[in-house]
Amino acid sequence: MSDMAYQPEVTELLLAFSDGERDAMDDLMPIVYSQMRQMAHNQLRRERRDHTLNTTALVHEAFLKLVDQNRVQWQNRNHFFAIAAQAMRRILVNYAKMRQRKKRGGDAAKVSFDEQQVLPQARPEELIALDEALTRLEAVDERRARIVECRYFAGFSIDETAEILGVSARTVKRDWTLARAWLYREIAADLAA
Amino acid sequence: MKPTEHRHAAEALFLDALDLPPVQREAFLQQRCADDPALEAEVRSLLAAHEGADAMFNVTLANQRSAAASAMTALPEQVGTYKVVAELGRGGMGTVYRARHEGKDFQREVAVKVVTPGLRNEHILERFLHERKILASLNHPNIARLLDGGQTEDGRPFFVMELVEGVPITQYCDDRKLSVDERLQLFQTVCQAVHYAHQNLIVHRDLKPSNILVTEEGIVKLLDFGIAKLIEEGEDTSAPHTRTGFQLMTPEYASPEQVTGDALTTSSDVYALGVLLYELLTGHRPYRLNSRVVHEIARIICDEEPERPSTAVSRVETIEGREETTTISPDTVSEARSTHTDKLRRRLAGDLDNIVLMAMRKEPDRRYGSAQQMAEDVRRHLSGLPVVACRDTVRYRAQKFVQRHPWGVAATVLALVLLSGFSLLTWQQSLEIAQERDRAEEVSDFLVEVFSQSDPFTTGDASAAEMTARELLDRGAARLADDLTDQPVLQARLALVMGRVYQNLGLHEENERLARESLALLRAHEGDSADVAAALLALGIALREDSRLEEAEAVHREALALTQETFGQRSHEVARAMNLLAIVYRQQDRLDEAENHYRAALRLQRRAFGKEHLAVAQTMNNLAILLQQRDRFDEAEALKRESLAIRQALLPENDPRIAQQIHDLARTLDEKGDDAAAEQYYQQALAMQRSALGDDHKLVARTLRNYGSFLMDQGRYAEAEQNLQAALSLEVKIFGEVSRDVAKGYNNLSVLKVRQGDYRAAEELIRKALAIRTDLYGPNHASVASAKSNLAGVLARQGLPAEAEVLYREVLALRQARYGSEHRSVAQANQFLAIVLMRQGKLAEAAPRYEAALAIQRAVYGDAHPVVAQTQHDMATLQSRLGNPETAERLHREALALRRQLRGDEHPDVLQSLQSLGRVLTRQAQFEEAERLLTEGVATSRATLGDEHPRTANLLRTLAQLHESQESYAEAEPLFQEALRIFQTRQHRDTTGVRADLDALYAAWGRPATAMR
Repeated sequence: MSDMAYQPEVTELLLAFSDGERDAMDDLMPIVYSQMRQMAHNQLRRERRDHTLNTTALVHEAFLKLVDQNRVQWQNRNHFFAIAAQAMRRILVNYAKMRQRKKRGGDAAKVSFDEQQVLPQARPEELIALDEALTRLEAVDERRARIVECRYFAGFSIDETAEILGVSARTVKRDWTLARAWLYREIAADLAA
Repeated sequence: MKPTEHRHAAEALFLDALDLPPVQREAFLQQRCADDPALEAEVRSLLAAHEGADAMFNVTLANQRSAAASAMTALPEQVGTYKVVAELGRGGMGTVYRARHEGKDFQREVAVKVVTPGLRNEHILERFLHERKILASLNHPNIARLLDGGQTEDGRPFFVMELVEGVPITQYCDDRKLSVDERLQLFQTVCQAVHYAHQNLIVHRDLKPSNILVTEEGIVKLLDFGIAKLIEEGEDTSAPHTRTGFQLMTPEYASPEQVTGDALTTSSDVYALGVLLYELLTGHRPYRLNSRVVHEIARIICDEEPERPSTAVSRVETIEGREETTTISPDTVSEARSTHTDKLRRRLAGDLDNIVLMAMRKEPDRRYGSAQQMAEDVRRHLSGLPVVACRDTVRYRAQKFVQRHPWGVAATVLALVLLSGFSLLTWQQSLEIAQERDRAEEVSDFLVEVFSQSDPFTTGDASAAEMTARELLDRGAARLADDLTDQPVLQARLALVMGRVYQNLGLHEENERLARESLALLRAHEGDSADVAAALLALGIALREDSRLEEAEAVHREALALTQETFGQRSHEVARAMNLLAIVYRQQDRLDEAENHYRAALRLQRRAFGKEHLAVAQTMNNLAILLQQRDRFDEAEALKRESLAIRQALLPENDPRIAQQIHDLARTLDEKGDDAAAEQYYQQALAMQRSALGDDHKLVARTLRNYGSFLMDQGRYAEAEQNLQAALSLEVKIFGEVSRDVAKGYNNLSVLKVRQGDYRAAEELIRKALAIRTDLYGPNHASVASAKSNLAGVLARQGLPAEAEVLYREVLALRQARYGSEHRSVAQANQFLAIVLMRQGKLAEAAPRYEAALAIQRAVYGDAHPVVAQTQHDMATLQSRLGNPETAERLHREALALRRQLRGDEHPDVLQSLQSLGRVLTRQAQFEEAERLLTEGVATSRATLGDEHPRTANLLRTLAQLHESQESYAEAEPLFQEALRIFQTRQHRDTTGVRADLDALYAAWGRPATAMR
């Protein structure tokens, strides 16, 4: 649908954020989220062949579509990717929640025939538990939460994540290891409970 | 160790341990954590988690990134002799695989469709073999070829087809943002392919976007020709509701004959082409088949008329997918067609509406005779030639409608809607409806549709129509509950629609009742949903219209919270909810909160729609009205002009919203004092509204009223009365006697009567207004205060200043409590109170009241404003009475100059100043100037107010007094006589005064008074 609708605004907000307008980030998130959700939806509808939600490709595609390349610097680009990773997290978690709701006596008949074919099969409970644990991690160590978003949800490499978050690759690697162990422990407890 | 340090230590050890080979970790831990068992436990726990984490993160990551794990596991290696490569898709009929055919000399990729197990399909293969020759003979560049067929090892039939790598046509068009013309061209190709198949006696039966793919190169390919028939006929046809493959197909594309199980012909494909074109053009499917209950779907498809495509583009539709909900809005739709909503709407209206609806007619024999004919009509349209398709007439459709529903709810609603003289224009375009558009409207789309083209029932006599409408409406509301008990959500939505009709008839209570019922139903069946939010908004509007502002506020706040929850904090739906809440705040005089909400709504809308959008214009206008109330006229004017520019850019020239905006701008200019521009805009608005809405519309009444008030301020009383009286009659007719608008009408006429000097009539009118308002709002409302103030003014003018004083003090207290002391209405109350104090001779009490009033007014209005002049005038009068003629003279001169500057020389206010200044000058023996001014006054008053006006009499009397002061008795006498005659005729309180003047004159003149009478 209207992938291009917010392009100018996303760019404006990114630039505003660079100029020190902290609020711009708050404004950016919902726009990027709704655009990417639409794109994810489109991607899933389009790619009949392998039913893949390629999150990394989606994030890159979002960047190309939503941001005016001529006007932004690499810092803006990194800000965008950090936000896009967060948006990706919300999209996937919302998918999971929706599916879980449907499972729990949701109205399967409401699904239109065309759409039945294509959506990804994640493990909803696990993803939701992860999301919740990640929110707790955020409170303890925000950077680690961001790293998980970049690595896990957006599928960025260690180096890409390091650049996006403006830290060394070594730090990303270290934090990624720690975050995963931490999260797993939390989730294992959750799922056991 | 502090907890943080403890954590860091544990993490460092954990990472170090990871770097070691697993066999060495035990010794490492024992050594490093020897004296700290808690630390050791933490590190061990992390190490244990690490192993699990690796597994978990890899698995889930793989799941998301390569998706369909379950589908992958179910992927068969081989179908027949075809090697399966991947799954392409799943549908109701089966699963499609990408497969490879390994021939001796060649290899080719194909699509293999395996029929879903569980269907009764023993005979499919048999039939396939029977028909494969025909199917295989379909040789058309836009039809995917059927290559082969067979049976899997477990006995499931499969079909082998040309592999098409493309996307559904709808998706293709949206992705590339194809324009309407480009879509029509693609659509023609589809028609040609379908027609080709029809000529070969093959009906598709399951045309829908997922069967019509477009490749990267832009080539259209139709899939599955003839397959549906094979599968369907293999089914057990004895089971109810499974016949004709009804459950297999996409219901939105099913024709009436398909859902009722009648014979399918090429005409069924034409119907599906109509649906396809509908979706290509509007982004919506013609029906919203939320219900998957078979008989309900059948009923909708067979009975309901689809909304016209040009109307459907305005729809906001939420499509629930399995994983997420997509919202199709006018903006997403027009964006995907590289156009704007209004342009798109205009593009579709007419030919394209007719073409789509002709293809989709219920009766197969009334559709296009062939797909070719439909393609031809599209071609004619593209070439600008007249099309074959024409509208069903209202009569035809109404007839069919009533035949189908002899006693149906909808028929009742329809009848009443028609009878109430309710036009589509009113529905769609009136300002309030635009603001209040909600989902209920969507439910009623088909109703709107039926009377959209013309409205033959509109009658001049709305009260008679209303009676009928009311009865029908009540009956409809009752049936709604009886007939739709098994469909509570539909019932609730329809109730909201009917509530709207009640509201339109001014029946707030009924609207409220229906809104509450809907709300209860929706809450019970949907929980917190968008529908519930819509019902809350409807209820809030009903309460607000009923002036129950506290309740309205509570409901609107709830609606806002729910909207934020349902649609997201920053959605434009939230903006709408904020707008409605802001209106309530404004009416509650909570101006800061109102302004904040308007501004927040404006931000959201600008973000959602861009700067140039009708919703943005609407909110700007609302905000401007508020700013005007706060006396920020320049900001208000700028906003309204900007809003007007947006509307003019986006709307057709004669759209009532443009007229409305022009009217609103006139109001601001009027308040601001830019009279010439205000009048021009009032007249323009009135002419436009009359031509767009007819003479009997409430918006026409409103413009008449405001224009009348404006004319009154201009001193053009005859024109003013004509307009005000017309507005009042219209409003009594539209709203009934006890209503806000009628009270306002009485009030305005009363003010006019005061200006005309007819105080008795004025008192009678204002008492009516006061009674209505007290009835409606209780005793403490701002509008009750203003009616009281006006009543006090009339009483004072009738010589009852003590009664007036009591009222003014009440008004002042009320307003100070409401607005604080720096408000123009407080200034006004002070000023009026001062006047009646003066009348009673309480001069010392009066002076400070004036000072207070003037200070507020100068701050609020600036120095050059009519109210400033009025206060100066009144202060001058007081000073004169206090025995300060120089001060009085100075103030009168300032007031006169200001009034001449602002109002021109013929304005009644100027007459008032002329008289007062003349009198003061007379007392100071400046006879020459006094005579000049008073003579001018008399002449102007005769010319503008008439010979019989009290102002003329007053001026005559003052002029007579001037002559008397100069002992020119012969000149004075006839002037006194004429003044006396005028006052006597009107039983004016000054009658006795003039009589006394005359007696004194005769005494001084030395003539017997009696002789002269």
